[in-house]
Amino acid sequence: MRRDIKAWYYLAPLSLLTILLGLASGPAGFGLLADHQVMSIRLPRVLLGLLAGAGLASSGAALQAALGNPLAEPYLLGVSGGAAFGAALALLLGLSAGLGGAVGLPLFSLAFGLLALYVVYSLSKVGSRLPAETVILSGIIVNAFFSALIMLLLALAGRQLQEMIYLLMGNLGMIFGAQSLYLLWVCAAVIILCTAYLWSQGRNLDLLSLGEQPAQSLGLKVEKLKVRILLASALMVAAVVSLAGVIGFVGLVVPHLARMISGPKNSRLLPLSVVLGANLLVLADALARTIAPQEIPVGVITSLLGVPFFIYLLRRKKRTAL
Amino acid sequence: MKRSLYFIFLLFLLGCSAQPRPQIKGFLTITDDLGRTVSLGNAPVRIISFAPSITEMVYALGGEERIVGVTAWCNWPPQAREKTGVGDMINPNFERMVSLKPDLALMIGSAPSPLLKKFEALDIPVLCFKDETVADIQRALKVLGQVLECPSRADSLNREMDLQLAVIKTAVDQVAMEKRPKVFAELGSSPLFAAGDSSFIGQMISLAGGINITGNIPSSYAAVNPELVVKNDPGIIIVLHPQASRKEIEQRLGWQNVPAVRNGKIYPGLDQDVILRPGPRFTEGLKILHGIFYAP
Amino acid sequence: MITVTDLSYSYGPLKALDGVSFSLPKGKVVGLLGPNGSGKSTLCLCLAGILDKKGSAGEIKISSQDMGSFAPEELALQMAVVFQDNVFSFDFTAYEIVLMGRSPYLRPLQPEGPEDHQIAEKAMRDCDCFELKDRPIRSLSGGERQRVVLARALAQATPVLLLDEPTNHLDLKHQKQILSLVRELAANKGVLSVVVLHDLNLAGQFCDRLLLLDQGRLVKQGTPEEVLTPETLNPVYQINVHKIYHPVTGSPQIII
Repeated sequence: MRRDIKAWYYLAPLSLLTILLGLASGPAGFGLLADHQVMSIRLPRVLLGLLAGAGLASSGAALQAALGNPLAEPYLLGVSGGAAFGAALALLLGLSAGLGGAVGLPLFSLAFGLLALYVVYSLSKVGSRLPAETVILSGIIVNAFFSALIMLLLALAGRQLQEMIYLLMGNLGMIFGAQSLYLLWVCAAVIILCTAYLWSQGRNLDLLSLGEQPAQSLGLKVEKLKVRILLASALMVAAVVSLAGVIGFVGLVVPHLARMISGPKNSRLLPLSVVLGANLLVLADALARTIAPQEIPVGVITSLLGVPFFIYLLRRKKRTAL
Repeated sequence: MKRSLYFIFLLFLLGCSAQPRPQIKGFLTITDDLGRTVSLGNAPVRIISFAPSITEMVYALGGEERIVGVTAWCNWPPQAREKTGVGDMINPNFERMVSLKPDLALMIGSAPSPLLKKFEALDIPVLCFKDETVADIQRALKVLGQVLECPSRADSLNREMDLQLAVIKTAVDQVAMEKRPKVFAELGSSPLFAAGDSSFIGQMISLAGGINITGNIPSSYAAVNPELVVKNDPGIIIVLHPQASRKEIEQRLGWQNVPAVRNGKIYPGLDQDVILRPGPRFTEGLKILHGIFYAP
Repeated sequence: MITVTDLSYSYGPLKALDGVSFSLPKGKVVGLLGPNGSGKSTLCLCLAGILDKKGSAGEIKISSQDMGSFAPEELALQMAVVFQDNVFSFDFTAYEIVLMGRSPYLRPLQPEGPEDHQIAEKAMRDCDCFELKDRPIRSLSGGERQRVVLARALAQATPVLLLDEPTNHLDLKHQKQILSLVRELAANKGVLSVVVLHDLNLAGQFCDRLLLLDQGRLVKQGTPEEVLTPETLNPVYQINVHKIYHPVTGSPQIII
């Protein structure tokens, strides 16, 4: 039997367990509590965890294939940073309340996430290729630029400061207001549609990962397709950022784990990444909610897990020596 | 990151230039809350205040003539806004401060700040006050009384505070611990921010006879999970930030059965400056809170 | 099959092709020769329809239809291309790579059918790489990869094959095997192959026609017998060469 199909037999019950664990964890006590008020706080949070994990993982997988670079990731590429700047700017402009919160903030984070992605893309393109090294370097530069802009906003911010800082740390704890629930539905729609689109383009993603010239000779409208895929990825990142802030490394770690199981074929990789990503983030957040009475930002936990993994990937890459 | 590098660089410069300074004998020698010994040659007449609470104290002591600079946050009394603004301790406008030719800077904090060291390097005396407890407030008033040459006024202010504290304490002491209202003090809503017992507002709540439901969080202030609020059944929610309205709180997921929400005991729009600010008006804040906690 | 009229191409101020015209019928193996930097690869990319239209002038017709009028997915049914460098970022299996040659025939989400698998398998057997089918592509040697990529081009089952130095990295056995395969396709299926070659002797042995490029110009076209002469080659390669004949096949050979 194909390994990825076998994996699904384990993943299905595991996902159920993850969701139960997510619903059972929290400072109000462990377990599926009879207090349905507490559960009605936990449920949207678990939903957000599932969505954010799924969105980040599928956007990571798609970016890796579309850019033909296994180190591509929304966080490392500065997309998350750009989106976070957009969101922080929206906060500073007072767009977080009412209609602005449901539309303005995501639109701002989308616009700047796309800008970041475009800049990285054009900075790192050498001929028709996107070499791993230049992609990472441009990502660092773009990240540095947006960090500086974010610092500027932090300096200008008054009472929005706290909110901005938590946005930058990545946190699933912002979802308890009635209004953020609307945003959750919007983002759910975005993430589901974009993931479905990317999955439908699975074969084309395979071809794109061969490079632009081979992909075109195999019948792809490369530029058009790339734009659409990058747009879908950035849309999902912006959706996640506007609800949960910057959560790093999920988009890097998860597709790599999934690839070890399914191989690089994107039609198999994407669904696996989506489910693994959703599991990972819900588990990380369950941990974040349990280890201390305060809110520990889940982005801290994913980064603590992600950085060693990134180092491992870099070392392995060095060994196989390009 | 950049800023901390900058500070390290600054500290390095200071380290190079530190030389034993001659002791000035003169007007007053004080040990401040950081244990620093500060000597003032003359009575200070050009003072910069770096905290709204300190500004209020100086005004309460009648020393407003001697203030030349205040922070952007110093909004009480209203006349204080007419003084020259010098930024705040995080974003100080250092040039403007120096151009005011201050002969004393008043700061708050429990450790020497970079700004403090900058002033020391310029040989401008700095007094640093802690602002965490009622005792801190009263000690600061006493010291400022000496500095502003009105010790008796400081004493009478402190006596007045003691009196008002005693009145509330007597009332509160009559209520058994388990009968005191459970209070959630909300300091921010995205994420939800709460105060621990060690914070000033935490002390205010217990002085006013309430029980802070987030009292056991390990730091003064922290983001908390909203389910903590729901689990602890606060009978009163005081909202000490402008972002959340009563309606928004009522609509929060899972908050409908919180007693404070059910009974409409949500209090937005409180005067944050008297409740949160460890200054001379804190007893007013205390009265407001006591009034809310024991409303008939 | 392919008609090129007065084709020029420049990268900015740099002119890589200058007024090249030729016409290639179906069922032929055409060698593209020339020293380094003579414009072989540029011509190849122009024929593949991959270079930016901006720098190009003149026209290319495929099956008497203007190339510009083909959408990429239509062009992929006309022509398969093997590029010089094949970089792989992910470890697809060799078989998955070859199966990608079938993608021009498939809609999104449509799985490959039994026919696609048959064609892919046959292409791999023809390129002598079927035993590699489950190996990750990045674990293969340069020559093995080259064969897999060639098999992908064959799986595309197009009337035109465009091969940019397909014998790169290949040992003698596989050089002969690949070029024989190209000949066979020409004879049996009428496939037109345009092959960029460095090795003049392989060109002499396996090609029906040769195009000799120098500094972006087409200096000579014709049969190997006509093109592979000291008079033609000496000025282009700036050395003195000698022509002999292959003892078995009788094809012209060039020695230094």
